[in-house]
Amino acid sequence: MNWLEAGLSWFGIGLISLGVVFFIAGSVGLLRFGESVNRLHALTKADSMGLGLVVIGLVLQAPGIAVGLKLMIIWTLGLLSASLVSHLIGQSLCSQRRDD
Amino acid sequence: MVLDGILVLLILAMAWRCVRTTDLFEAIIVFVGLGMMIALVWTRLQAPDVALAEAAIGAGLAGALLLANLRQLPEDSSAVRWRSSWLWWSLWGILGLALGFAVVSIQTTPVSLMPLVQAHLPESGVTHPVTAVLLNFRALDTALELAVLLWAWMAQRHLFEGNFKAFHSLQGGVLKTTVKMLFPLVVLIAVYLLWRGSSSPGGAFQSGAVLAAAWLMLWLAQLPGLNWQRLSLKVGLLGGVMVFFWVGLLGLFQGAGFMGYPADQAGGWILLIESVAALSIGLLLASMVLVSMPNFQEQSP
Amino acid sequence: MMLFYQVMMGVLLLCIVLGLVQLVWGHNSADRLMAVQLLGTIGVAILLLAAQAYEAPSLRDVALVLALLAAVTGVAFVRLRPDKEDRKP
Repeated sequence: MNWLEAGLSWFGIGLISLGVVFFIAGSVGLLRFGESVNRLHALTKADSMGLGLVVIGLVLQAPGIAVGLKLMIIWTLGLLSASLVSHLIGQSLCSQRRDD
Repeated sequence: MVLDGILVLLILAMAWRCVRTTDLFEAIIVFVGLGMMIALVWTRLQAPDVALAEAAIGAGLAGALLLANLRQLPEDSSAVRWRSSWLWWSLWGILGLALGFAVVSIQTTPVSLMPLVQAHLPESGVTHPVTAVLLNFRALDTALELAVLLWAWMAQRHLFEGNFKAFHSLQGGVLKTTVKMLFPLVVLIAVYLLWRGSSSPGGAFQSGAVLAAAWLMLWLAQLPGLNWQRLSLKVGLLGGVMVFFWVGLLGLFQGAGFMGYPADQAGGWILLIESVAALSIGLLLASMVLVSMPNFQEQSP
Repeated sequence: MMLFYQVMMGVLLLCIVLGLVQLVWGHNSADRLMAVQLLGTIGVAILLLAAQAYEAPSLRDVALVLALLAAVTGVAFVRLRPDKEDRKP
């Protein structure tokens, strides 16, 4: 089944590259967007899609199922933390705007 | 090589900014980012145990502690702009040169203790060399480190007598619900780190730090967590050091010397010590971080 | 294969440099907080890539702890942020 492993491995490389592209987009967006609320958008793209694609790419190259599961747990934690903190930051920005 | 260079430049830039800025909030945030980068450096230096501890404490607990204390300061306080004089520059320049000289004269073939540790590893009860050194060969050092942590905790209790400024108001239930979901997972990760300590990087200290972060998370969500006045909690604070020294004495009576364990029981004793120590470290760190946090319940840490 | 991983890690480190700009010259505390979150997530990605490239499975545990503590730090900073913001966006 060597061709299958090789194919999956190359697919994984492609996914990792795509994930890094999302990270680049997120970092540039964090700098370039005008409003703080818009910068939140950029952050969440990097956090969820970037990390997710990198993790999926690594799962395809992982040496075993246990490692793949651990990678998925790390991604889930990253997603939960990103959504929680983004929500809180959005709330704080809204309340700040209301006070002005 | 290039990666290391970029990392080093990043760390230098962040450290410089952290010291130079007069906005304390910015300094604290840059400090947290610096902690994350240093965790990466530790992995490059082949020290994943230290990287774990740095990620847990430098990137997490230290930031929360500093920020909570910043909140208690008067409103318009900011860092003093340091005045640089020629004396300052010359002193630090001499120190920098001395350090550079020391680095340059490090032997290229360093004497490593690893073969010695590996030779005695089977009788230590664990399979990870760092844990074997920390909890068996040099167990006295680790026990004294725990005692130092306990003394630091005792000293801090008497220092802080602040007026607690309240939290910002909590809107909506997202924080509480998510923290309720996350808390068991964090405790599970702490236990996982403790268990892994015997065969791969992990151990009592890292596990305790993650446990402290779990309790910090509960406090930040204003969820009722630990009841800090209960006697069992206070016993837990002391438990780590106590168990360490009692087991050490037991080893003395069994003829293996103070802090020595008979080879066939070593694994079991180490597990016991690590479990109690992790709990103690978690309680101590959590108590130290939470004492300066805004108080929302009667029982304060 | 190793070269691919190292190039990816290098690109991610450059993204950290971009985030550092926002960290230092950000307009208000929310911007700085977002930059630190980005730093944490990119750090996790770098550690996972390094774990695969250098065959060091313990780095995955470091990534796990970093992801976790970045969450706690983010929550702490939002809950304990200073009341008055001097700079406006």
